[in-house]
Amino acid sequence: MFAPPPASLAACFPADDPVRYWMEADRTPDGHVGNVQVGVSAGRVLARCGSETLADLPLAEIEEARVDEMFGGSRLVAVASGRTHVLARYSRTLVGEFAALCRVIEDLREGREPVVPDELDTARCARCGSPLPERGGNCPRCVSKRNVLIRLARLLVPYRGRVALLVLCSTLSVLAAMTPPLVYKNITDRVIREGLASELGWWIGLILTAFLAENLFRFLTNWTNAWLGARVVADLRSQLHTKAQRLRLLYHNRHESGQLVGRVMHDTAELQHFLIDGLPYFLVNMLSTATIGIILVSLSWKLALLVFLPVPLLIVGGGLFWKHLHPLFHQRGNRVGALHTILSESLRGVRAVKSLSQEDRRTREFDHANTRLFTVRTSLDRIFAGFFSSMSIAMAAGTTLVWYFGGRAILANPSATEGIQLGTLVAFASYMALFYGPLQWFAAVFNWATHALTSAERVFSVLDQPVEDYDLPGTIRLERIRGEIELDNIRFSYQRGKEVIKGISLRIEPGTMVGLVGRSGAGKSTLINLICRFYDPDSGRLLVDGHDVREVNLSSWRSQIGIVMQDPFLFNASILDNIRYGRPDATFDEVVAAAKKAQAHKFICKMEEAYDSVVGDGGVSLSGGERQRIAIARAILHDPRVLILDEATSAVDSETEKALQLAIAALIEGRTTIAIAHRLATLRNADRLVVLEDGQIVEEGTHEELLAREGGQFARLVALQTEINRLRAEQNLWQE
Amino acid sequence: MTSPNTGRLLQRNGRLHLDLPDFEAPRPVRPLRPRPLTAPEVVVFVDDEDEDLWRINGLDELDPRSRVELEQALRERYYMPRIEQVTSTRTLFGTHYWEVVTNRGPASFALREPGKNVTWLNEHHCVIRDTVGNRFEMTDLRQLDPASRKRVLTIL
Ligand SMILES: Nc1ncnc2c1ncn2[C@@H]1O[C@H](COP(=O)(O)OP(=O)(O)O)[C@@H](O)[C@H]1O
Ligand SMILES: [Mg+2]
Repeated sequence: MFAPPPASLAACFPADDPVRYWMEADRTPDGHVGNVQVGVSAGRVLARCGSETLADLPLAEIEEARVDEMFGGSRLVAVASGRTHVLARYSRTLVGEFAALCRVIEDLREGREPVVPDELDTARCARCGSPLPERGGNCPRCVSKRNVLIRLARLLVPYRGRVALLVLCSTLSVLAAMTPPLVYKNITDRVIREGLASELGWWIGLILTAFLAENLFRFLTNWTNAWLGARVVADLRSQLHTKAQRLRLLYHNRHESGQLVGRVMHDTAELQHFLIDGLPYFLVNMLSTATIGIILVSLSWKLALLVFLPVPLLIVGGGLFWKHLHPLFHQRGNRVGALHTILSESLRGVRAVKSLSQEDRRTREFDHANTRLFTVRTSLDRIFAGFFSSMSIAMAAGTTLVWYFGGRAILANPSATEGIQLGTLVAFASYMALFYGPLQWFAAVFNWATHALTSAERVFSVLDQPVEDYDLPGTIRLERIRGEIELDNIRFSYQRGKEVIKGISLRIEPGTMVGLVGRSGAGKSTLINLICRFYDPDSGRLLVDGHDVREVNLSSWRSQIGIVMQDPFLFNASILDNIRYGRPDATFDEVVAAAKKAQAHKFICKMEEAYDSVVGDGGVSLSGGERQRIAIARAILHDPRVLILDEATSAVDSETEKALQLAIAALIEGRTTIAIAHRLATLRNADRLVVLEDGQIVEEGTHEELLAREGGQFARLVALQTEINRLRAEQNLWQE
Repeated sequence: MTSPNTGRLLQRNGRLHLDLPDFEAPRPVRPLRPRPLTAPEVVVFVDDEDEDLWRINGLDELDPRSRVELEQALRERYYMPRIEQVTSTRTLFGTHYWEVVTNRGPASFALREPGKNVTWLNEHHCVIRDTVGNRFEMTDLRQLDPASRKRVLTIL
């Protein structure tokens, strides 16, 4: 991630100690927008602004490098010989970059080789420098529209038969629609003027056929098109869903899940809407406009020119109109949203409003928002009305010109059989209505296309994310493992530069139970995430039965792990299916045996629909302890070699806890177990306890050993908890 | 409460220090605004344990030297450029891209969900928080040139 330093910075370092890492901040010391460069070599740290050196510190003298996060930005600070030096001030845009640089300084200072992240979630587009809608996302300004189009088109390849049908039908429907005006011309000139009455029936037949054909082909077009649009979008949706399942947790971590759901549903719907309604409208009308243009010119190029006269006006006018309208639409959306917020707040908070006697104030606020919405709506309607009127005038001008000059030409030569005849004029009149109508909408459709392409692009950007490597070639498939786990000097950070696990080494013998203890935020859950390989460590190794997990097939490792968490997730399915989610082929007997061991069988049978009760979102609600026991039954059935309990007993009252303890005792038998428990007493039967603090192991030993340690961290935690329990007990006494 | 000239601020070893009559020696502090948006003149001083040591209700409670020190420190901590001109705005899919000129120089930023990320202090005064958390202030919409104002109003 560190580009080669600029020459001016490189020149500030001696040849034998060249600058290795550097970064550019976006604020000068006096708080203006400007550049400050910070360079780091093996021996020193230097900050400069223009040609002025702000700080030049030998690395050996630096006691601490840190980042201060402040209200209006951040700064990189180094403390040297008791004095605080501000190296750089920068906006939030650069927090990731400077966190990494800070870490580099700390690493060098402590004599470690710096771990440099190869990619950073930058807040600015690397190409055009404009701010990104989300860190590490794609730049909507730089996306090549053509590539997105090509990619969309590629989605159509499996359905080429239908695409061909679509093209054929729409061409035929356009051609059919072009026929009647030509027939009118012939009826006027041949039947009426030349008196060829016998031809009339024939011509009328042709008109009817053309109408029928046009509508038939249009129906086929719309139908094929709707099918194709829906099909492509359904394909995209399922690709997105599959992708979301396989994305690294790191991605889910950085993006709210709502955003992903939005992308799956909203963006694909937007795309579908355009593909079904917008694109065919555009294509069919382009085709018919071009065809009409050609026919008009061939009928009479002079009159055709008159028809074309208002065209630039229509197109430019349409463009201007949408440019004006767009922000207003936006404003209307915002104001509708504001109104909704007030309304729903008034309704949901009706008790609070009443008890604080603020009804009048709410009414005033609502009225204010309502008026604001009213104003934007009226100006929208005004612009709309004005637009259509002026477009009609432009079109009418074209029509009038054609009639005027056409009429004069006919009067000058009433019996012409070539050039402009009465029939020509009739045909022109019919064509003009077909011709002008769509033109005013082209700008709108263009606008729409841009949006749809952006949607498509956002969908593709998710599809392009890296996924977990499930089946890398050359990896070992683990069979039933013994369950020996070894962590070898593991370091890890969620956000680059902010280390959460700071060098942990730990060996867990097969079949033993290790308890992880520590304050909240110490890194216990993170350690478990690493063991499950939800994340990969920045450095260090994780060994399972002596194999480095990176050389092990991912699913063959994960399938050996069972996890029971504080708030276990139940799927929207029956209890039966939930218990056998990891092993759908398990028999009912096996499920019941597992449920019995998990102390869940009794309460399940008490429920009206027993094992068929649907739980999870929108199902029967269960207590925390009940959900927990279902999860344990699931884990027992899954029969993992390694078991992980993350605060599995925290959310449960003491009575349930007893049942849960029994369930857990059944579960951990014979498995390597790593348990995190809030109540330290529950870890009494662990073979070994490991105390974490701030991402490092500070104590290790059995329960008794650690308790006996004077002034130890664990002893302190236990004392604190005993005190809390005593206070709680007293309070309960008082309440009773 | 506090009265003028009881507390003194000074720079020592690159840090702001506070000296109060009952202190044995000046202590390193950080100035914080408890109401950064609605009452920026109120400042509390906290030590490295986040203990609140002193509060002032306005800079005029300080002697001139202390005042200069504090202003300097606050400028850095509460950096919030004031938008003076909006050179262009563009909206792509719910994200508004702004190019502005501020009292601290030119800037560009992206804003999403203006309803959530724009705080109105009164009808003409607002604070904008961009997608990464940088803040920009517009002290008086009426004072912007007409083109800028129009751009702002279509978004906010
Ligand atoms: N998904 C995450 N993204 C970023 N930071 C995280 C994430 N999960 C945890 N952290 C941070 O990592 C540190 C350790 O968290 P965690 O492992 O959950 O602690 P514990 O389980 O010991 O309470 C905390 O400072 C927490 O804020
Ligand atoms: Mg945790």
